[in-house]
Amino acid sequence: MEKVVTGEKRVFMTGNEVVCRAALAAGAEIMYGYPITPQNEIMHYWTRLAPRFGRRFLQTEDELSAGFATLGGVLAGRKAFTATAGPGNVLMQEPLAMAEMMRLPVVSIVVQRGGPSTATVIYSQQEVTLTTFGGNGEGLRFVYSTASHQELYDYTIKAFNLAWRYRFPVFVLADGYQGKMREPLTIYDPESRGIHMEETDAYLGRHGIPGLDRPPGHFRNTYNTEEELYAVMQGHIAAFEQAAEEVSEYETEPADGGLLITGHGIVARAVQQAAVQLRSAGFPVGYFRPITLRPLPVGALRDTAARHRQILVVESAYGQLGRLLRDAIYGCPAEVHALCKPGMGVTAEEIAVRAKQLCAARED
Amino acid sequence: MRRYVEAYVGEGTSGKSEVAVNRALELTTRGRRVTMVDLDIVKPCYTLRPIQGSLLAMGVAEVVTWASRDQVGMGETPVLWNPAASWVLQRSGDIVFDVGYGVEGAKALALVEGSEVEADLRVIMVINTTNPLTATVSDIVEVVSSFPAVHALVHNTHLGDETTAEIIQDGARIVGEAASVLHMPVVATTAVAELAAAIGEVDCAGHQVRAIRRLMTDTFW
Repeated sequence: MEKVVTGEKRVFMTGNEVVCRAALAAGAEIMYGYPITPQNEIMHYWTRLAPRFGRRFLQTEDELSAGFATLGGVLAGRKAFTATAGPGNVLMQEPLAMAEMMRLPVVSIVVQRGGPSTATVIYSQQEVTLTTFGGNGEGLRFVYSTASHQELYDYTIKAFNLAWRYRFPVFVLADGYQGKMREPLTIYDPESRGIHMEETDAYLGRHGIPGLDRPPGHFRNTYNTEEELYAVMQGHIAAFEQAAEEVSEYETEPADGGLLITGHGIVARAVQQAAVQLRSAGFPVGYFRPITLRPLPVGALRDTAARHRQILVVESAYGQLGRLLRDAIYGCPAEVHALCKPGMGVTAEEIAVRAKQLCAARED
Repeated sequence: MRRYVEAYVGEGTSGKSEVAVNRALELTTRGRRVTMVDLDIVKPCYTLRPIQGSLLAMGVAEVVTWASRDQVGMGETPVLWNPAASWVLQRSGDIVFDVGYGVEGAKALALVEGSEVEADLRVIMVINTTNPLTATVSDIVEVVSSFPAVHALVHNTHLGDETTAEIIQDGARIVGEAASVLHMPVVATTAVAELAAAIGEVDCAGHQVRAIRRLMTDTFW
């Protein structure tokens, strides 16, 4: 396969273009998609660049088909991916739940827009619940929440490896701000950084005669009895739990006995900025940012939460991250507060104002 | 007096709007009457619209665009076209068009009445070599050739806040070479004032250096 990037290069581009370049660098062979803002440019750039490197694209009639076609590509052994947003992400839950059931390494890039329904084409963090636990099933999927163009590049590459290593669907959860904004990043060839790209192999159409040279390929999303399903799910859950230890990622800087501010994705940038400013002004404020929303870094989160008296969860949604975190730290004595702005960006300044109020109330 | 009619086109992230807005202000400062026209039908809501008030306050005679609240329709699929833009070439004074990105964006110029016969119209393509689409001489030649009728280039290589004089000079060499292959002039190298001063009046490829202010940081994207 022809190298997409040689060496390393500092570049300036939009987040959607970054995703496209990262998928190319990761060796993605085909994208299936259906247009929806704010992810359209992933498709635009893919259709423009993919043919130069012998990669392919199929636009389907809707997101249901795009999702299922991605599963088909993967069953044929192709490194396949899709990208969507909002209502498109809703439609894709059925195929992605099938990927969960059949352990198919599907990669989906979600560029969150406002919700519910078509709402805005711009920005939100309102697809957290949907992306972590959407579909009928148990949420056996990995979800990275990126905060910068560099991370969009790094984690899109990682998503393909994670999917093919563990055989669970993997989501990169971005948002319209990240998709559309521009900032510098370094693009690179993964192999040149010692990142080994996982080999793909076909589920269907393998060499040899089924039953003679190899077992028949029998991949199921339907079972006849509860016991059969239960046994299969026990295996899937065990595999997921085991992988969770290795997969979960976070960033933190605690402030013992003080206030812990948490946020994910692009909001984590404001959280981090606010925490750093407040600390330099003498406030006991730390931060915790889960990079994987599924699985959450539960151990680290519980340990960190236990060292603080208060927690402030900041998000561009009405408590979607909050619910995940509260569940993970259940039993922790810290008071949990929320700063929720569904569908709106959050600035470091407004986080700082709220954090100061919480610090002051605590002193009273 | 010669009238300037300039349309800025290019790839996404090249800095079209920044260059166009700065050009409009430069002409305004020279005491000229300038009309800025929003021809961005690719990302219509988020570029010039948020700063139209400040452009007027800085002396630009008129900004032809919709305010988002005046649009009919939803999100990025509203009624895009402000009919005033169709007839803008009938006005006196200078006209600066900010055009949406890509080849498709540039096609919006054809919707302006008389644009195909306007003798003063110059279509100027903005190039940033840190965008991989326009990183090399052959990339630039290919991209420029894919656009409808480009008359000249503006070299606007930058890496956002990380821009250095060296990055700009590297870009200047590449764009200079591409321009000679294309037989096209490079009307300027644009750089924020501090870097423009560091480079001097001309860059290493002999392009005139034009200092700009970053105004698009106040817009949406």
